[in-house]
Amino acid sequence: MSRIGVFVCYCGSNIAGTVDVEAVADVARTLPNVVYVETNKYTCSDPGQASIKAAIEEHNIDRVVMGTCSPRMHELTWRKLLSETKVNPYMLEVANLREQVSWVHKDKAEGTAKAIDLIKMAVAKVDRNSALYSVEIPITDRALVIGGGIAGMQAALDIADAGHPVTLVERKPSIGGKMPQLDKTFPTMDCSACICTPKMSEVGNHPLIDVRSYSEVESVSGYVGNFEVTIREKAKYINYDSCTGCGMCETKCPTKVDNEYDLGMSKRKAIYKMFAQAVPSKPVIDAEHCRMLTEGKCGVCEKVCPTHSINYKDEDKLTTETYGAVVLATGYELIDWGKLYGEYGGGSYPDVITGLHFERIVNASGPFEGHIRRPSDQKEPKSVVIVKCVGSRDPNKGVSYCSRACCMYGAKHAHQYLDKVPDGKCYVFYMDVRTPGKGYDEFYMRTKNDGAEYLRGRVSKIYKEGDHYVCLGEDTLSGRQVSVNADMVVLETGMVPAPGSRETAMMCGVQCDLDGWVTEAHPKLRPVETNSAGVYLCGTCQGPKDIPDTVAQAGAAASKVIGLLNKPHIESNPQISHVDESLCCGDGACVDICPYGAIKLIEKEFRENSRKVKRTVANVNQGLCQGCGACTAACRSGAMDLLGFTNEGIMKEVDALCQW
Amino acid sequence: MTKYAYFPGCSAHSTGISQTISVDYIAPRLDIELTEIPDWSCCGTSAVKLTNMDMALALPARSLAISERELPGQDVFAPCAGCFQSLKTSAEFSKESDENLAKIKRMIDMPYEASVDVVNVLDVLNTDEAKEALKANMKYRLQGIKVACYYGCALVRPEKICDPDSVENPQVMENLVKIIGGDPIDWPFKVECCGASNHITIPEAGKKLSKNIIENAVDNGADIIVTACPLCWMNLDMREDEINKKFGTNFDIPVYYITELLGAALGGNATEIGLDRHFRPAEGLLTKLVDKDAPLPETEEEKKARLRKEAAAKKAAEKKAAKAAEVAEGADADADGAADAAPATADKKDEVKA
Amino acid sequence: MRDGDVAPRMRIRSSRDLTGSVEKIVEKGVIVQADDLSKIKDSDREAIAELAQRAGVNLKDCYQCGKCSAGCPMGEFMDLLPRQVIRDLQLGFLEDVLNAKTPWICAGCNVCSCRCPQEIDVATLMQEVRRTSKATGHQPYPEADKFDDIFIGNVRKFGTSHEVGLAMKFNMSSGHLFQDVGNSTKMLKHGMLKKGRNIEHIDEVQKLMDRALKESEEK
Repeated sequence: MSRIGVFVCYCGSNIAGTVDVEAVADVARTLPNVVYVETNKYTCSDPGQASIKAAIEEHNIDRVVMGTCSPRMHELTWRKLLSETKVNPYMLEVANLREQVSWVHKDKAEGTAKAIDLIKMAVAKVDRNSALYSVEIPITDRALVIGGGIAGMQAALDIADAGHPVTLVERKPSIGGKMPQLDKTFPTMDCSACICTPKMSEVGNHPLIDVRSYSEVESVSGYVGNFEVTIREKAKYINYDSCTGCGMCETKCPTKVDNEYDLGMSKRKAIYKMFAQAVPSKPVIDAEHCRMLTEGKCGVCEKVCPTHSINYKDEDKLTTETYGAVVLATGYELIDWGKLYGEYGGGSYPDVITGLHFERIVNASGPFEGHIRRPSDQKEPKSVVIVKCVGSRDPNKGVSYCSRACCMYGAKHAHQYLDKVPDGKCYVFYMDVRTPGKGYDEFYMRTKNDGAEYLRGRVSKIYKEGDHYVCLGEDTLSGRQVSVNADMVVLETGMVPAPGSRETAMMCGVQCDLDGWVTEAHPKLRPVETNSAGVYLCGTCQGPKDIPDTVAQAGAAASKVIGLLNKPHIESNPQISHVDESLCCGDGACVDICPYGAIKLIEKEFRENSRKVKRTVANVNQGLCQGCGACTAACRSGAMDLLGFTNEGIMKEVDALCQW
Repeated sequence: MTKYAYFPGCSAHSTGISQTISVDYIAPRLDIELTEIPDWSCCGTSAVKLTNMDMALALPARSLAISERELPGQDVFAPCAGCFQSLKTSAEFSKESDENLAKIKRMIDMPYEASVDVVNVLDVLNTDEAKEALKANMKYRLQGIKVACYYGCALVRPEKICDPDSVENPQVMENLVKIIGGDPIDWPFKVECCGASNHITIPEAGKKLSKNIIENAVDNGADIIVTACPLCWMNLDMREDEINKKFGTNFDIPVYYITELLGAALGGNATEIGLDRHFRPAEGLLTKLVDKDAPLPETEEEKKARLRKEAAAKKAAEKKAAKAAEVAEGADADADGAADAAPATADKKDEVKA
Repeated sequence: MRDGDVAPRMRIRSSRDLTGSVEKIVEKGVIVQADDLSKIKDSDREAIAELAQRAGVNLKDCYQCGKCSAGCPMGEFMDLLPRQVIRDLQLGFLEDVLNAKTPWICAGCNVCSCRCPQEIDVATLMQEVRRTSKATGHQPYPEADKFDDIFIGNVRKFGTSHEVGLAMKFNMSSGHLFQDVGNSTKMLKHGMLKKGRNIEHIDEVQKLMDRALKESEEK
């Protein structure tokens, strides 16, 4: 026989204003198996909680109903309270008399009646509750960070500095991401590579960080604390144990290929280091262009390598390891604007370039050694037009969102151009100027003072006339149609998720939104977690942002990981699905419907009718199951039930509500 | 044989006469049969559309309904871009919903099922069958003529109605020009507006727009301009002299219909394809045709290779000649020696003889 | 001037219109004042909403980026740029828009609609403004209006447009008596000025046009 204690809260006047708390308590006293009812002004307060504990002790209460605020508010409080008594924390039901009654009803009679109904339902349900116990899930003390850009590197450093081993996976031959490609960073105009490469170096040298460059995550399975991840290290054709990074091979290689790092504005060799400060500071062979690997000819690099590190027979390597936490830091790329904007030349004009091209041009380590030159004829452009919002804020042809960083880097580009070409003219076409950070608006104002001509309006068409380009726009502020002759046009294009980021996120059981950005658990309050326990995210894979926000997010994600890995184990949520194996027919409907991949079918031996039989039954992973209950609905044999929300318990609530 | 229900439109026998004539010429040669829709009436474009939208949807529907009845199963082909847009907009409107179709039927008071599709000149010429027939039947080829293909507005915009291959850089006419040996140029004004009927209501505006187009084509190296819309053709061809007068330019570039170009390739003479009805002398095109099987002009690569070969041959020949000269010198030297000796012997011989 | 009076308002579209504005104000008594937004009539707002709906456009989508105006080939001849037409409609200045020459100058080339990032069909909106302007008796650009009337008159009479008759009548009624005279001799020579077609069932066309007009009225 249950001994139920019911505690109804006034919550000051928050509940009592619309609910006659004493009347509710009176009705509660009449309900079956209720042995004690108490009202309280502030149940959650220390005296309130002490009173509950005393009542439990005195009246031998074995299960509790709280008529209080929302479970989201204090369910954990009540569970904690119960864990300090002899009552199991799951012998608890919360009737939400605040958010669901007093906050949404004005009429006291109505509110009281509803409150009474909710108490009746809670009492009926708690009567059927059974004690539930968490299971300890061990946490592997190792983190995986996917993506070696500034976000991934910062997260890895923070986690490693806290004493936890980290594996950093990066699919390019070097870590660093986009930052080393940039020239200067706004608003301080710090040299980007100068602030990024020390971090790269730190990552490369950190005893607890295992950098896997030229590698990709192949598969992820498992659950929080125990992710089983297979990583594919692509064939580098070079033995990194013996290679010293001397670069002799690169100088002798005869094959020249378009250099992706300079966006095609310069050439690299088939055996190459991405850039001078690459980490690891060793080359890889581009298998698509290497003559030996494609035609069986050449082989010069092998001949000249002083440490005999070239190995043309190299193959991809797969390794599988277990990780306690995964951080997604897969980054972004710029939208492929050529396909979308035929009116800007569709990509066929060599001097109509993106902001990243401009970064390489103005960079001293770029194709023109930092001199502003235009790609077609290497002449110094005397008139540059910068067009912002290309691809962004364009539901028709591009993406609907704002790419957040372009207003600042557009101003930066204008400033850098005018700095290097003092007699040049610079026009910036914009829709808005968004400069919300510290020193940002001042930077924009200064750029205008440098002489950048800001014209408010989108550009309708860019076409070639002789050896210059004509940009047709409108300056909406003065109401004039304008046309500008430009030697070079820089399009500040929109950010989109890096290719493959959706697939990588899905591998980790994480969703992306319609634009492909990884979805966080809550946009305001949980920005670095995902809906999959143990998987975190940071940086631009979550959405467009600039470097300061990226680094901050990386630190936040790291702190979550550290919090997780600091525990030797975590307690599982016991309100999960439970299989009654005697009823389970093994049809797998639950397996298909589970959004967390928490159920699998196993073969098990049973003893039935005095015989040994082998049957296929469902098996629930206690770490992965989130207690959503979809499987209980899908189960045809009724074998699946949700602990804490059993079918019986719910039916009893319905019964209680319907009996008047 | 592809059959179309033919909707000539009002311009067919006035400003669009050359297009009509050339369409008539090329149709059988491209395996196309055109049957004029009996008693067709105004397509409802231009002023109608700008005055009353219901009328603009109903008027074309009348001709579509007649076509459906008299020429069932055939797409309606409207060579005028304005007619095409108006007919197709009405057809799509009726297809959108039962309510729309009912409204149209109410206004036209005729049986109509909105089963008709509407196509324009580019659609008709761009089919695989038409292109194959062109390749098979063409007698002549253009050689060394740079062609600016001008689409104007109504064949590419609005995108949903016209459904072009590309709204900023279409290539349908370019591909046809390539088939008949022309050299289509890359130029950015191929879809800019010619001014349309503003040439009558605001002549200055119309002339400015057309001038920009001709100028851009010429600046990008065009020898001729090719269009597929009678209004564009008239604005560029008929008004070229006026434009020259107003802006002090001296453009001298003929403007053709794409159908005229194809007609020339298929062997038509000036009258048969309408070239004798232009304002700007246009018959010179026919003198620039070569036989279909004539050798293609050298490409830059081929020219370089030939020059290299010639230079190498020349060098070899010079070397040979030099060597021969050397040998000859040596021989001469011997010969001289021999010659010096010879007279002696000759003398001797003579002496002997004597 | 009292509150609520509507003064003949000088449209300032761009900075260049301001040249001579002082003279205009002083000499011609034109008054330029701040527009009191609270005085915009509900009936005007409703009319604008209906106009936008007929055109299938949501005016709120427009964020005034100016790409339509930037690409408009007839822009330099207009008093209001296409973007400004939308802005005035957004703010509720219906009369200014119905009195503007812009919709009558628009060539219907559709570049604006094609490139608008918010997929606003600016061209159709412009046509709808023109239709509404005519239907409510506004005559900002009589020549274009005359052209349209003659065109439709011909359709009613002959069943199709008569290019010759159209050009002739337009020239006469617009006062451009000698427009295209030189061209017409050439056109005659090339057989382009034919008598024109009379269709058989002209009555069908005329009844159709009447029914269409009736359909519009009943809306």
